[in-house]
Amino acid sequence: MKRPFTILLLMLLAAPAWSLTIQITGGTEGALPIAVVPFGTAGSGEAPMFNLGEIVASDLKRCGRFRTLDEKDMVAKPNVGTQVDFKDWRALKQDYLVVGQVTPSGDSYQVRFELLDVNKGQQLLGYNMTSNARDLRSTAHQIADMIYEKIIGEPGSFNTRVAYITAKGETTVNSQIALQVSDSDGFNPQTIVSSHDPLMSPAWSPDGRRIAYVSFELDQPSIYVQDVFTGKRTKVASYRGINSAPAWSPDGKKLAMTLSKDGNPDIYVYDLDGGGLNRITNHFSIDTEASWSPDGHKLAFTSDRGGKPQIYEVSAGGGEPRRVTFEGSYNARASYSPNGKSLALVTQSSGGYRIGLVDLANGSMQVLTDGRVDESPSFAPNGSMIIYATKEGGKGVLAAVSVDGRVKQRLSVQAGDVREPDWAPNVK
Amino acid sequence: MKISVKLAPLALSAVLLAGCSGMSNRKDGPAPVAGGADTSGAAGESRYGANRLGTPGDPLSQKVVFFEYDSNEVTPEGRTILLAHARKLASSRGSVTLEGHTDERGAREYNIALGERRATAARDILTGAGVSAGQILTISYGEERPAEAGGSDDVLAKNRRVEIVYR
Repeated sequence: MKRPFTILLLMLLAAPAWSLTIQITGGTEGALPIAVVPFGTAGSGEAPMFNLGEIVASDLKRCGRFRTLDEKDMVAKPNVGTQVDFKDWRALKQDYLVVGQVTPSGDSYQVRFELLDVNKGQQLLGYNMTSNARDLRSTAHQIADMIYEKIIGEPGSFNTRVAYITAKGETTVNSQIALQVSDSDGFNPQTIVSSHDPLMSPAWSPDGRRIAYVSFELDQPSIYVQDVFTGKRTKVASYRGINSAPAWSPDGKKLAMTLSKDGNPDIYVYDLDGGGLNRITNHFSIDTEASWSPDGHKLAFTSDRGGKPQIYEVSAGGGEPRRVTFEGSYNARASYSPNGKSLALVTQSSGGYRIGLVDLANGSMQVLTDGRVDESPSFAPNGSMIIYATKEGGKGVLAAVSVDGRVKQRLSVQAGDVREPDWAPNVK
Repeated sequence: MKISVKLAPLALSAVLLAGCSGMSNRKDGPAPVAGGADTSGAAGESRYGANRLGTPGDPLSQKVVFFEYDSNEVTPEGRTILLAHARKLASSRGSVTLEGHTDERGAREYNIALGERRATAARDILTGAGVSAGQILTISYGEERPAEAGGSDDVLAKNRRVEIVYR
């Protein structure tokens, strides 16, 4: 008798939740030409719903380091290295070529791929991998990571996840707010918290197992830490006033946070093991949005102690803060790049709020985006891209930009607003 | 069992209607209050329409105080409204929650702090006029609960506010 509901639910689940648009702006100088041939299907089993070669190409294209060859320009579509005539690809001025094929067998898939150096006519990588229907997209991202690392010499960040907030009907009693986790290209979204009250500030732990976030479910904002796999959660801060902006220390043992329990918003560090609370700043201005430097020695935070919000750095043990941003009248929500050399932040520029990148060596700022209200920048674990929230047609969507500002992509969910992305660490 | 089949589309259309109406009637909407001048009883009325139902010009019928961009300075109009509520609260056992809100621009956590500053500024006016601190709660929603959706200057101005919610 429950059938009508079941059908409705299945229809909702089956709706394609995401679309991915990649927009290349600016020149292509420095981007390496690579051709990823759509993977073939071998054997008599049923081919997967999507082509792994297309996912690999899309990953490589959106990171800004590669220029991928359009399928329509390919003169041949080999699936194994022995079928490749390197002359074809040299004529197309390709440096690299990726070929592969998928062999379905029962519930699993055998995936083999090769990365070839076109000029030398050599194989650089060749792997055979076993996957299943659930992990097949992940296998494609893993292949993109292996290719990226072989050519660039640094780990890729494609086979990772992103946490973000979705909202529907925010101005009504029926607001539905959710904290979701998806693949870094926006596919496979899963809700881990849902509420009628605001949810904010998701932050992955360095081990990728837990997410800290702020929930207003108690009619007062509180900070929770939730295990992503079991769903079990702990309330870690619920003082009077503001409990917001949780940020993990690189060792995963402490959380920096903003509390206003002592009168106005200041930065505190909470010890997750011992429960001790250490006050880091003590100023009558707003101090908030702490980010931990990758070496764990410093915290960057937003303060309007100088009259307007700007970024300051302070020792993680406390002390006298030092101002680090001087360009522009509004700089906020900074986060350190994985190498600790720059800060991504929200900066006011030509009337809009954009994502900026500040070089900590000389304080210079590069504005990477051109939206009206761009916010919440978060670095890919390898530092090559920044994911952020923007508005498109009045709707909140996620976007990513390569750190050189050249390649932008939009990830758009079908219903509601999407915001506050946090890129998960690369946990191998 | 047939009832449940009929209910599903009804519930869906209710959600759709609520999502399109642009009205902002949350659980923190009109609350029953003792006292003749308080006129917030009409369920379904927009928060900003409250003035139409009350005595024209009575500041008690207004429960929203607006702010300039990145500012927590209470305007003369806002002060008049807050002082009217202060007189009522000082002579009663009533209690209020002051909800601080911001527009959508800038960083979300910074806006939580800015919203708190606005709520605190409103609280200070109430306590300065003789309301006991125990009668007042403050909370900041930052930009998380806009009164209206959109990015026009008009909408942004309506979202930079403190709402006075009687409990």
